[in-house]
Amino acid sequence: MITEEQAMRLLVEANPVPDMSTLDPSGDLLTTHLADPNKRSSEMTQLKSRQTDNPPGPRRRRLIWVAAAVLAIVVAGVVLTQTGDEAPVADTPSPVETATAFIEAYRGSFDVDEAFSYLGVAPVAAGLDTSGAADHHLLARFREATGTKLVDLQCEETNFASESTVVSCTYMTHDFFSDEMGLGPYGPTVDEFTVADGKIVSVAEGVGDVVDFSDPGGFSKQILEPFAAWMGENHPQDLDVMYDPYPNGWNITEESIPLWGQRLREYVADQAGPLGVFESARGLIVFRDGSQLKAVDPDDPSSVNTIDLPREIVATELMVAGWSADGSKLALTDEDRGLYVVDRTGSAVQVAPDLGGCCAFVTHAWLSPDGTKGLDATNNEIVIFDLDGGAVTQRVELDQQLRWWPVWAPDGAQVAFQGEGEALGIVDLVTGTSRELIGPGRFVGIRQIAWSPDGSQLLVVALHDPLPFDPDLNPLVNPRQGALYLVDIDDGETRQIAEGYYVTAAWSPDSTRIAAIDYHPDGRDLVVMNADGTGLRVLAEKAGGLFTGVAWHPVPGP
Amino acid sequence: MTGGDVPFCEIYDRFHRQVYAYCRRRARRDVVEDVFAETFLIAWRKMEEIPPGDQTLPWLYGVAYRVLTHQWRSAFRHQRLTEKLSLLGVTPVDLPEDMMIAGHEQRQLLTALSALRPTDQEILRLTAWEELSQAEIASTLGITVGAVRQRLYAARKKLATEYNRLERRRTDFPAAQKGGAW
Repeated sequence: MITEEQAMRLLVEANPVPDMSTLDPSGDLLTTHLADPNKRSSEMTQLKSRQTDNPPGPRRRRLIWVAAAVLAIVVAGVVLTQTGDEAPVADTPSPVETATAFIEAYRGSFDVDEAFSYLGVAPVAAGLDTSGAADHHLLARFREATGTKLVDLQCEETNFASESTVVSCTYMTHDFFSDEMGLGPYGPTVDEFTVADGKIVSVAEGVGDVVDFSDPGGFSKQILEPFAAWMGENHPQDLDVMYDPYPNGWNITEESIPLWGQRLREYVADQAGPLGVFESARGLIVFRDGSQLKAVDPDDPSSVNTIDLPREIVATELMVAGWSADGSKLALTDEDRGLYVVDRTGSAVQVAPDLGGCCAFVTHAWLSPDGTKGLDATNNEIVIFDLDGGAVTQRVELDQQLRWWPVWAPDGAQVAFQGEGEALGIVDLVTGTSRELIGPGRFVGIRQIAWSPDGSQLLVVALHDPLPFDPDLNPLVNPRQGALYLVDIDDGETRQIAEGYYVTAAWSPDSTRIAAIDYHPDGRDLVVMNADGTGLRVLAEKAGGLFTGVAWHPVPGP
Repeated sequence: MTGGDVPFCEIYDRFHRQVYAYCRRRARRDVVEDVFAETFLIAWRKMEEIPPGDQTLPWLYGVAYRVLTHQWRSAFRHQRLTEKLSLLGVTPVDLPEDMMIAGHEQRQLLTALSALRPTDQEILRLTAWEELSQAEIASTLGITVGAVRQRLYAARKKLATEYNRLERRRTDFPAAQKGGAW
């Protein structure tokens, strides 16, 4: 048996690199790295020049001496530690920190097991109430499914004794997706905790909490009652599962929780309008920025609407990849997790679990215009599958290898694809026949193709220089100069319309403008231009998160 | 004043050794340089966001941590890169060259460490290997100091518990030590 202190000391001893003096003393690692042609890029070359243009001088030599001195101190510290001195011991968390961590886990992240790790006694003994649910895990899942969000949590010590401390925590909550409807938050709720020896031994939930069911600005009048009425009108068959009794008693069970989530999502979407959560994206250019979708007005970049991503995909690297023609479904792509659709209720559904690798930084239009089918591909085969259930409905075999993923035509009856030598071809899904639009060798390093909504042109995002077989298309580490091209669907006539470090682009619904993301060496820009390349304007700069996919909402604004 | 007011070369000169050591401690040697270079590439691109003074190094560690855990993948390289990234586990038990020189207790400790949640693992590593303060760890991982203290407190306990569990298992089933079937 070892103690915590001994475990930490072992961890210190297990340091794979305890002595930094053995590491690249000249500091030229980056230069060496850049010497590898497989890793070189224009941006990295500039980085190199920034480094090597600063030859070692007196200041750098001084830094080396300082580093050596610091290193000696660190080594001495490690030696002392190894010869018996105690490793640094973490302070015991304060009662306020313990209570805060409990609420953040219990009501914030819904991690009941973590929350209970802060208890010094059993949950029942601590006084925790499950509010009618069978257990705390079920209650947590209900809260998560019904859009509970913890806000403005503040805890403070209200009574201190030698054996225990009372901590009072005040917080507000969004419930039933109230935040998405522009309502709430509701509360405040005050919970009191008694903390002894770093553990919670007693919880008094809702102390001082007053719920006024007649308050017109309260949760009951704003959401609870209207939702119950909406349920009675639209889904009477679900009332027995969700309520006990209807309309004021909630039935929280394994069966009812997903239904609560689904019906609330639909209710929220109905309150917003025909496009549901996408109402605020009408006619705007949409891209992902961290945990949200942002919708920017191309004519007024200062006007930006936000849409929260569904919880189930917030932590993913999914990026926007186009809309259904009616603007009610948004396609998202992730190379690891496959293809997802977010519908007007804001729910995300995975429709293809395994792509076999593809698509980072490329937002190919895999969602059919009618929003019911998806495009997939094998080496030499275009595969169409039903979104509902994933059944393959059509396969079109080609006489060549596919280089990149195919994209739907706006009429839903044709598909464009890249073949060998980066040739471009068109497949007629009705007849199953294909024709070559652009022969091999015309393009090098195509990042994306996108069919114009009027069906007359293909937009091609491509590089200027040939890429080796194994290129790194990651623009973050390897931005490459390229251009946007337009290819006439009928005769293949091609013209370049813009130069830049473009990685993805999207058409406006009327085919007159193009939005694109430019990963140039100095930053990342979302730009918009006329379809002939003129009138280029920057709409957003250096947006965080996955600034890698863009899709123009097809339905005009009000 | 932000890091953007300090020349990039000065930041590189001052911190490249620590950042390289950080990468070496967490990634296989064949990908260390990629992670290291990408970390400084991102730093260069975000010069104006780099905090000054004592916050610079934790910020760089934070970038390296995210590079390690959120590698961007390119399309054509997917298969190869996936294989490559599968070697990029943040758990040091995946570092064979280091495993070979480490003793049994250290190896078992690293195995126990890998059973913890990733963020808790990183908090312990930053404490033991980078010797960061709780405030610096909070800055690196983008969480509150209170959360670091709470999680460090719990993670230390769990690390010892997991180590002892492995030790009991090893003692109870000696055949497992030899890798034999039983």
